[in-house]
Amino acid sequence: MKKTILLLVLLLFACGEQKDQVQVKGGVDKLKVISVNYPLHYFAQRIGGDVVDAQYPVAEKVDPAYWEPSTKEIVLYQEADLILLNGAGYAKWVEKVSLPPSKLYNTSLPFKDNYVEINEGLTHSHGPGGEHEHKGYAFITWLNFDNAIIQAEEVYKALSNLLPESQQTFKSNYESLKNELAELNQKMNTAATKFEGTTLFGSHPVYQYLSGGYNINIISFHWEPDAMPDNFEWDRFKSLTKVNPSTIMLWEDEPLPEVKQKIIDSGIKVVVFNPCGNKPASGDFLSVMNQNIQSLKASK
Amino acid sequence: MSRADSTPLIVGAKGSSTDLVINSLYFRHEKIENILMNFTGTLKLTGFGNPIPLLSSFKARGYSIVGTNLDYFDFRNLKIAEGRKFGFVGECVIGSRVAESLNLVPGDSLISSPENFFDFAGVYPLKMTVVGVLKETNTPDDQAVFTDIKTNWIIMGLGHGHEDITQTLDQSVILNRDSSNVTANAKLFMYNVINPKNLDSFHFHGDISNYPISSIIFVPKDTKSSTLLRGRFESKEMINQIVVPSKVVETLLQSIFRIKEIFNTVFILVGFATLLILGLIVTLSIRLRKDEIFTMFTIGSSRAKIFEIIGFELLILVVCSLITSFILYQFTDYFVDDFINYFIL
Repeated sequence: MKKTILLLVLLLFACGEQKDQVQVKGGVDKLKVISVNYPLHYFAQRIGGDVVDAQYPVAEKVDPAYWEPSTKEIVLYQEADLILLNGAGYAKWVEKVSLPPSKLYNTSLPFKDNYVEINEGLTHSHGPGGEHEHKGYAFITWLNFDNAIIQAEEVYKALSNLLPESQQTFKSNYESLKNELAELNQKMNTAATKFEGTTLFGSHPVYQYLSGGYNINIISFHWEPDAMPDNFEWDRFKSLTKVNPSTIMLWEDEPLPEVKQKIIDSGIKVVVFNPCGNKPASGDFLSVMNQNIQSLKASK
Repeated sequence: MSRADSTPLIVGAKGSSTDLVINSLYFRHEKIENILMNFTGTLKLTGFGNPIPLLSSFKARGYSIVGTNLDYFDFRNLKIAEGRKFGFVGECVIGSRVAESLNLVPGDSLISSPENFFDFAGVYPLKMTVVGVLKETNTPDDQAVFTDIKTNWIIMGLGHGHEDITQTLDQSVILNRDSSNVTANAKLFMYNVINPKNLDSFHFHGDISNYPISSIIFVPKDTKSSTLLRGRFESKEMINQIVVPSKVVETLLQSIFRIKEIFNTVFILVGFATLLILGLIVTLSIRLRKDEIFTMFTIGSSRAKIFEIIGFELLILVVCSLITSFILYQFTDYFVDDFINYFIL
């Protein structure tokens, strides 16, 4: 009887040890890196490789810039080893939640002096604070691929600081990514030369860094791909086409067929230039950007 | 002393280093000047370590509200016993003693106490949601209400939430509207509770890096970083003051012990003088009672009996004095903690 009990106890201990080993094998030692948008998540995946457990909790078809995380998702961010931020006011939810500052890393800090300032609305006053307005910055920074390279480099630096023993792996992965982004930059520069001196329309004010980085004049509307603009917007569109004759309108996604037809009827081509803020349905950041450049080239 | 030892450096406005340390370690609301939040950025840029801001100037039902960030929890190794850490502005995590004495659990609310009940135009109280209770640590953290520093700024009135006055349909809240500006009047309702519905409406005016904080706990990477940073303050390269809490507390304790030594010496001298006076009184008293003693002797009392009577009288006096002293000792002992807290600390 005693022997049976002893055997059972030993078996129980053995089971416990087995479980611990499985947990270690399951990647407990991996660096948890979480990002606020897909481009940074993609950079973290590419640079971190197998050493990093890159996480990205934003659901598909949601704009990460205006995403509102749940408590469960906030806890996920709080428990990460590194939180990659885009900076320039991207993901305003970050300002309203509590994340450990020692884990936050703003990837656009090196070019913060080049942020494009935008005015977000009317000035207003109430109470002793006086008149004020909510100013902000354009935040789709990575559409200037020079910025994207800097942001990828910052991801590399942040990972190397946290895990110096894997720096060589991170460096070689970063160099490979940097070359591909530089190639993308070259292609974009070539494509942009076709649009020198012309004006493009943008369905939404998300192309500021594309415009600034490649000297393309872009006039933006506030049109959503899944909505029909109201009459006021169409009137503005008509008046602007008269003043700034344009042949191309950039869209974040394919617009509604009736909207597209109306634009085409005005003599303007619809070109989808997806900023890729969120994970694409197919492909990855580089393939989407290549497709964007290809579409832009083909339109002229 | 252990709390001071476990806190490497504290940065704050120039002034009393003792007040700065007591405010930062024990969350006592000593009157210290605030510094600007952007100084944490300045310290971070040195690359010498991690700055943790603290803002402790408000209370909720008698307990200090401490505005900080989540790095403070890791630094003090504070674990959550129930619930979770604060995740959104308007949420708070309470120490074990606060939870016990106020009978609060995650999901309950805690309202910040107004600074002044007669200041109707002052800061509105904020109803905070308790989302976590800390494990007991037997430190001042057990008696604190922790919030994100942004929540503290909202309590201070530097941030607030209200309906969008550029979109509102209630024209009675609009004082003036033109093409570039909308001015609201005092009727504009300010939210005094933050929930998922109105969270987006909360905002801060101006640059939050210029907002106030009480002090900064600086956690240096190593001894070299600590020395280099202190050197920068010594060389006046950086404004404000940096203190080593253990040294400040040690100096404070030394002062307290020195005062104790002085008091002990005074007590011995006073005791000796009292004994001399007592001896003098007894001697004079016996001299005054000379006739009475002579009468006792004449009617047949022995010398021993007379010593016995006078000795017994003295014994009664001593016993009465001891009883009075004991009562006074018990009375002062009851108030001594509060006395030290309010008048010495």
